[in-house]
Amino acid sequence: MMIGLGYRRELAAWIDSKPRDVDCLEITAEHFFHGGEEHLTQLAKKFPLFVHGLGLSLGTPGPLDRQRLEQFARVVRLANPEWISDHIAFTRTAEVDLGHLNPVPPTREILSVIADHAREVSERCGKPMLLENITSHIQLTGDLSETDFLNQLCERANCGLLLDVTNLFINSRNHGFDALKWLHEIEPRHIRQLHIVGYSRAGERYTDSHSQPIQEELIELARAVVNHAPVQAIILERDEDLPATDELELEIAKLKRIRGGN
Amino acid sequence: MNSSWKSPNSSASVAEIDFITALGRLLRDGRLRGAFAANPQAIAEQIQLGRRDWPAFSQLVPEELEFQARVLLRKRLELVRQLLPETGRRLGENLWPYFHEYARACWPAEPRAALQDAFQFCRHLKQQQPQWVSQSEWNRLCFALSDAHLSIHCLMREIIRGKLQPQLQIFYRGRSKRWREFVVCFRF
Repeated sequence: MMIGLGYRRELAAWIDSKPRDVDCLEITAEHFFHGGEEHLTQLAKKFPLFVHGLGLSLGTPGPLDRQRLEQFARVVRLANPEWISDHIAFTRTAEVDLGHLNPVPPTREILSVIADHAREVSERCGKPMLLENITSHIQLTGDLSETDFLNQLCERANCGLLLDVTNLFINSRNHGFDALKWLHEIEPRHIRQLHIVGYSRAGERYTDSHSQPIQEELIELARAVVNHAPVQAIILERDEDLPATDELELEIAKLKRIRGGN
Repeated sequence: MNSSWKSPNSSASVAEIDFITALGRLLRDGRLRGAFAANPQAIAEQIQLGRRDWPAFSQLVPEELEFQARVLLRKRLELVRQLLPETGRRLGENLWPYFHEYARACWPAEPRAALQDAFQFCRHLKQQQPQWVSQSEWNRLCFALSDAHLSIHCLMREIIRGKLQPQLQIFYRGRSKRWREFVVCFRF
């Protein structure tokens, strides 16, 4: 199992020094839509890469945005990743670009939309695809449970699950369900990669600001996932308030301990 | 996934919208969320949501919608703040309340949504507290959204408290449509 982190420009100098404990990198496709080809090629020579999308809007009914898909495919071609990923979500509708991830209802109709889109992206890029669970402050209902929806989606789209441990934890707290029970309802073979970063709190609500060190409850949950499923990579997904690199190294060390079983 | 159906009370064909489109409308429009909280069924009818999506639509919780909408507004503000660092500094803690007031019921149109958003926010601020809007940032937004080739502005910039320095702010756009900014400072 590889341990790595989400590549951010602010970390470029440190990453270029090829830190010993960083096994792999996840790059955000949209960060390379308008340049950075040379840097991306260099990164691909140094690390195994994964390409992660934010805005393919797989949950929007209707055709995928062709321009975004082509931009995404171009980044994939340059990075030559092990696999690609995006979210089980919509960021735009036929009328508006909402600019961020929003939840989809667990219905057969939406399952079909996302599965078709995921297959199309995977085929266009020639890479296996993983789909990621998001944080949602809205609890949507449908004709499937969330876990049935995810299992069937992975089957139908022939893709894996990128399980965001922090998002699972946050949703379980905000919507009052048991994260471990949820986890054990997911077919283990689907879970291939994890995301993790510390959560934040705003009053009673838990949020994913991507700005906090990983809390112990999250380490425990990640350990439970690793014991349950054949996880191949864990990515630290810090975006805001990036700490000094020695603090990042400590965060990565926490993740290494999950791998080691301590 | 929009489709057509015949209204029982009319022979006219009416365009239905799907659940995702309806949810998008609620998330981008604070006034619609307010109306939804008061009467979900009336809003489902008003926006012509397909009948089979009514049960799921009616189960949406207004407080949850409001929280998710705030998450989206915060993301918009992050982009606007990058375009308006000085204006943001002047507003300080008032930035979020003023942005929320402006952004809650309107959504910028593509293309160049972040530029449009920053421009509209500045216009909103100018109507209320014009001194909070950085003139140089306003000039930059106006030029970026225009097709002009050249624009020159005189500014008085405070370099230390109470001491003003005259500056020329010059924008130039070449044939490639890319533009550059030059600032000429005068010292006396």
